Amino acid sequence: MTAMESTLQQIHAIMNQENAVLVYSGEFNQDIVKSMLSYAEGKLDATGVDDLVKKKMFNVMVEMLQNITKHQFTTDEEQVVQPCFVLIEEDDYFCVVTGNPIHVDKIDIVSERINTVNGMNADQLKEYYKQARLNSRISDVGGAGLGFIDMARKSENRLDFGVYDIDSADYKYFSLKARINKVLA
Amino acid sequence: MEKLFIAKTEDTPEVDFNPETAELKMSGRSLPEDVTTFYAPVLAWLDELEEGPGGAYKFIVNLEYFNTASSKLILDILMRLEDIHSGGSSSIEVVWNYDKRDTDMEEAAEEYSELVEVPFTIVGI
Repeated sequence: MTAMESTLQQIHAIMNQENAVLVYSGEFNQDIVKSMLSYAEGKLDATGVDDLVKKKMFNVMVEMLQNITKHQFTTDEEQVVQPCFVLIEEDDYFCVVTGNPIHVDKIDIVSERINTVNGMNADQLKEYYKQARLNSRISDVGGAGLGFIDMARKSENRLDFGVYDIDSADYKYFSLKARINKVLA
Repeated sequence: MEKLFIAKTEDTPEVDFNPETAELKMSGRSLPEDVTTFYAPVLAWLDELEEGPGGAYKFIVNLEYFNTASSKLILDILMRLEDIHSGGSSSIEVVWNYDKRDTDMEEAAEEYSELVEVPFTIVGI
């Protein structure tokens, strides 16, 4: 299967199963991130949802999209599978879903980081964020290492993730899903 | 000292640091691709302020949104201001305005206020 067929198949599967509002697959850069944020904001405005929910969505989208922008590149000569971004509307939630190739060596650390934040309540996340920010250094790719904590805090839900095999010895496909309640508690 | 003005864009805030009015203002959204480069002139300006003639300055924040990388740089700015304040030649006061419905932003401002020892007022508007 070519990379294109594989990507299209994934998108097709998602669009069929879910009520996808926005689907993007391809290279990520800051201009594309800005376009998608602006498009998503327009879509959310049209739903008439609360401003705070929109703000939370914006927040979570920025972190997820910029994560991909910073970590999308693989050392494979050809990009096996492109990263993707999907916005889904469910009955009670808006969901932000991203997918990107991940080096097999990074899977454990990323899984551990997400599992850690998923095991925390709001107060614990707040404290964890505060400490992590104090100790954080901006990395070579411009991240602060705070993204998952912030996504968990702002979305107020567990982060779902999965790792799938792709046609590569060194990479797998990592998917991440954040849910934001349409009606806040 | 010269005024520092950076016009706002879709992903970077307006920075308006005016030594004449003694008001240092930031407003808008902060999600630049490269936070280090964007905030370098801001931190450099504060270094100059520390060496400057002294005065009573107000850091006024009107940010609608900032990403996690910006959040780290905002902490760096506040810590720099704290150094200036504790140095004694200038005094610093922080006024953090937020949309009063935005509880996430209120919490963010509270967290910053707990971390730095400067007079810090949080105002829901």
